[in-house]
Amino acid sequence: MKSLKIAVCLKSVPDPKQWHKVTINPQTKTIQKEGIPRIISPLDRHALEAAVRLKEAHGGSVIVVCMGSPGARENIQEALALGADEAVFLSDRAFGGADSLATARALAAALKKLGLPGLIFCGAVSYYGSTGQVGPQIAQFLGINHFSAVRFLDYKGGKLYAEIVTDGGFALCEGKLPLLVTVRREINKPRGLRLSEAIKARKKKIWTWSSADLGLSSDQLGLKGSGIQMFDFLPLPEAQGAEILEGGPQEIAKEIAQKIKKYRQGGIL
Amino acid sequence: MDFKFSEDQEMLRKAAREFASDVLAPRAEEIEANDELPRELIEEMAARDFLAVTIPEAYGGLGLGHTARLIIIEEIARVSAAAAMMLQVFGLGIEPIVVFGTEEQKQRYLPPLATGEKLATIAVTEATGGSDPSGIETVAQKDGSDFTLNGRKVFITNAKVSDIVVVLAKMADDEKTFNTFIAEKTMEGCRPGRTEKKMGLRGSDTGEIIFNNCRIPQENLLGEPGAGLKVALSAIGDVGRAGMTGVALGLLQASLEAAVKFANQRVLGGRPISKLQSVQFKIAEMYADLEASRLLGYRAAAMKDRGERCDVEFAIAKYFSCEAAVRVAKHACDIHGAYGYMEEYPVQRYLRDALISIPSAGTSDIMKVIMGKTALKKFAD
Repeated sequence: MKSLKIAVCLKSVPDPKQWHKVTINPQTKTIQKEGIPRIISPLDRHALEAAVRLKEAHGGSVIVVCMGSPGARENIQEALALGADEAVFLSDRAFGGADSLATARALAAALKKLGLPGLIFCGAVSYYGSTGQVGPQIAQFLGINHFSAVRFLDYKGGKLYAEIVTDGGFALCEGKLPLLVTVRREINKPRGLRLSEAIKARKKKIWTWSSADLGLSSDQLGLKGSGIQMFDFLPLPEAQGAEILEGGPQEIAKEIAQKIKKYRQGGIL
Repeated sequence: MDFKFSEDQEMLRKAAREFASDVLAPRAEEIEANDELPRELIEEMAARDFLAVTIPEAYGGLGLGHTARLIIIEEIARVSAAAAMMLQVFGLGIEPIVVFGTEEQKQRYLPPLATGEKLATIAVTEATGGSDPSGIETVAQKDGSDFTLNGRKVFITNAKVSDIVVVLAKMADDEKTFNTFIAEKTMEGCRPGRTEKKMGLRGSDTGEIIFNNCRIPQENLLGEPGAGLKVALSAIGDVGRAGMTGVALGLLQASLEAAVKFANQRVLGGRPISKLQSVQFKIAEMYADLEASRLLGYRAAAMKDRGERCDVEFAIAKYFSCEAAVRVAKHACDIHGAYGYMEEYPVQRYLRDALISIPSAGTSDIMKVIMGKTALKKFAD
């Protein structure tokens, strides 16, 4: 059997624990996140863990693909310490300002250049953009199938079996490789950083590719290649009013349940 | 002079911080309430190689040195000084074996310590006091080729959880001769005694270790015969002072962070108290204390890693950072007002924890003796 080649798409994001420090420049409408430590987007860490566990169980290799600003390099290093074998870092000003479409296009081009890995893992959503679009779009660019929002998977006899979370429950699916999988947090508990692995990771290779390496023109990438242009940010409207319920705990709980039911029926919740 | 940490060191800090914030922080109050560091947290630290940091690679460790150790203790102490103290004294238990152990002793004891399968401590202090180790009363009686130990060690961190105890004793037949031994809890006559109830550092396992006709084989004598004081004190010296500096650094950082958070949130007279110059001045002093402590601590650790003599530098770092930790935690409590005295805010814990950093691994007065003697010689005409 051919050795399993697995890729993981990673995003480096400002640490969600410090999002209170994020500010928006009112003139340029850009998000100011300087000085905030960067982490691997939490669901991407679950994606990496799923990939590394498959490699540990079935052999093969795990390569990380990450597009980001120079600060993302330390998160790539971290991914190597968490079990990835090598990494591709898409680092070029031309990638800047990309929406989900331009991001997926660049990542897909990199994955194609790698010879299309049999399995590609992504987090179901990033903790920054939260669109959930990048994974499926990569699959579309590559012309392969994808399972989105996977909470459990098993790999047997060259096939992947997955539980996909749907609106009403979950679906059991099986698929042949090549396949792209986006994962939810329930899929696993990511391992912690081990010092010995962090040291070994320093010797692992990080390939840095620019837009020229991907064979894509500047109007396919970054802001220019994006389908969506952000022109404004608006604060969330403040909550309107409040209702104070009175009575004992049981009465209040009953009343809340009735209200939730009513709002649900009215399509408010 | 380069004041930057290397990329490797930054990665170690990240690994330690990840453990501290994701695994330890959610359980910090539980540790405090139960006065116990759960075994699984120690196992998790071991799984992340925190116990292997200063053990040489040849014996299953990582051989990363003392700057790395300081980084890890600092990050853990920022969340739980008790957990950091476990690591600190574990380091004291292994250092004499690393430095003075025979090849056989290193092969036998260090690998299971590097993986956390076994835990270590050092037992020097007795009821007679810790500042004068020559005043101890634990005696070793030569018994054929072996030794029989009798005595009671007090205030020993990791007293219950440790498996391996590096212990200092004086010879029964010659009160001026001291030896250090590697004892094991599985040896008959070696057991923990009472556990201390402390004002702070709850969760740190502090208590007695009792030796009652404990037979220790000749091969467990550590270092040259009669070199016991040197063996035991060298561990407490640089490594002990480095570790307490690390505990102090974590407490300094935690106190400053808590104070800034509270000062920005607490509104008095329509504006946050962080706008008051009296509060800003306290924060400024805390910041200066943190930065000065950090520079002193990491300078000494870097010297240690370069193989330079650094006992005085560690004495300065230990003295300054531990005193600063108390000052800064007190400021943090003051900024919190009455809330600073309440258990729902952690600053009272930082203050209680900081107070024990002063007598641990050499009191401030002992540090002053070292610094004073050095300065009187160094700056004499």
